[in-house]
Amino acid sequence: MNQPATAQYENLFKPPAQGEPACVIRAVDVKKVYRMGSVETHALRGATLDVYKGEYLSIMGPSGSGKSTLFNMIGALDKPTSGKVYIDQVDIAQLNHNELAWLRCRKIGYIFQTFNLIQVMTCLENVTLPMSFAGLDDETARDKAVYLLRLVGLGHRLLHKPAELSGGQQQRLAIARALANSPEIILADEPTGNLDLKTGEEMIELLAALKEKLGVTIVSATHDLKMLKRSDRILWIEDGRIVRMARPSEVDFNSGEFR
Amino acid sequence: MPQAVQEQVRLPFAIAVGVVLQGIRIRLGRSLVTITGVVLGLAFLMSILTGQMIKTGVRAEAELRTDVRRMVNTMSSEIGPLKDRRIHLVQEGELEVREYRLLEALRREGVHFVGAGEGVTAVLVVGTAEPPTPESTRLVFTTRVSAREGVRSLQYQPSAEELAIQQQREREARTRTVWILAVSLLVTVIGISNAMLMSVTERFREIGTMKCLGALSAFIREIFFIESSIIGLVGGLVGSMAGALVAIVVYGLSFGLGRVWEAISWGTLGGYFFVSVLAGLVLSVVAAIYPAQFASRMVPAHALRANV
Repeated sequence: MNQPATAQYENLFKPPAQGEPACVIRAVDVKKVYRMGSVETHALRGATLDVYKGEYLSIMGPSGSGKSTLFNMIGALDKPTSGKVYIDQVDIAQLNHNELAWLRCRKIGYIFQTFNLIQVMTCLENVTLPMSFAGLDDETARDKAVYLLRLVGLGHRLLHKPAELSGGQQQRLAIARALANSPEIILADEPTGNLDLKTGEEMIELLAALKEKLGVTIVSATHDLKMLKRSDRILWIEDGRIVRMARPSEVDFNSGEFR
Repeated sequence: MPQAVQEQVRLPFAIAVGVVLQGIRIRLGRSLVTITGVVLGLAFLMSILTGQMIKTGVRAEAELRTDVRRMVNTMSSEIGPLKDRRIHLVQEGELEVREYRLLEALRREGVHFVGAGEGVTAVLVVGTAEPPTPESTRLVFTTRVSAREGVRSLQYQPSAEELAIQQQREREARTRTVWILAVSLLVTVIGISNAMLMSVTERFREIGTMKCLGALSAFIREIFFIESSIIGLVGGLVGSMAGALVAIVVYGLSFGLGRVWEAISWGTLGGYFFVSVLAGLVLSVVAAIYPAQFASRMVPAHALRANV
């Protein structure tokens, strides 16, 4: 049952094209078991992957395949049952609570399917909050938040509450918030899952543009075919295992299968 | 070379206070519901405490009146109508309340208190004064117990049977009071814990989000500590005041506001108020800090998934 994961998937981890880009996230044989009483659920059965600096990686898979679990593991939001996760060459299992908070604050920006905005705060405050956590002074934080909100097209909604925004606008706000501390990595868990087709496309364009403009690394769990087209690499996960990795050019988007 | 991981800085206390005040203001409706939970719990406790105090006071006053009336009746049955009687008053030491009230009552009846001399019908000894030897023509009354021959004691001496009944009644009353207080305290604890627990658990997701954005567990605990202190203090003050007021008004309606007002011991009431506000503060903080601690220690992924 338990095959050595690294050997099996070795051919999948070829870096994208030119040279040897730095590896910002590395997961090695990550397993996650959820226990509910006597029932054990194997959400991840040994996932190994590298994410390279500046790439746009999509994690694809049906619901219940372990996408979100993998997302939580590489985002330092949950601890693996076994295996290692390195972010910027640091083993996150070695970090204490305060160092993990620092890591989540500065290195990673999170985008969720359900937006997870703080409903009682305005757009501006939602974006300045992570900067306050990073110790930035109020004025600088406000100026940067205004810049970021303009960047995602919410310059005219600074003092609105999330509930007063449309779904697409809320996700734009979440993207602005994710960018607050200029992270190297953006982790997006089904960012278009709660959006209609058109706003979903806009979101994809926005993320792709940010990748080009700011050079951030984007890892996105999705089953939105349009997101796959814009990504540099696509990774398939099924039943807690990474089963395939491919470039968009190798995929037939009409069927979602390999050419 | 990647930037080394550092420890997240701790935010100044003032920022936490700011976040809390803003949160309370924005969530005003929800905050009011939580505060109302605290207010109701403490109002209940405080009204029970105040009510007990008023009832005890009113009962003591009624007993005092009966006692004084009995003493006056005893005297008038011995020496006839009291109007314009001259009574020699012998007084020494501190007087008890019932002695003051007896003197007042006698004066109202028309008794003249005089020194030793002509036309004195009787001698009344109050306080710690030693009763004189009764002469054949005069009666000597004392408000306290006296072993001296011929001295009439006005102190009510219940029979053994009466005493037993009275003690039994007092024991029962004490048990009832303790029981009522225990129940009201329990109601208060449950009411406040429930209100605070709800207000924290419904924000698990928010806590998870904050942790994703880089909030320290300590910061989250700090926010809930400040918030629950404010809610506990405000709820405690309002609830205690409301409880005392309700008890005074309700008992005032049945006993008469004047009698209730007289029965209130302001020192005791102040003590109850202090204890009640303190209870509100401590209960709120304890009830909020435990789930906040739990939430702040949760892995962010779990806190984000939490559906309450």
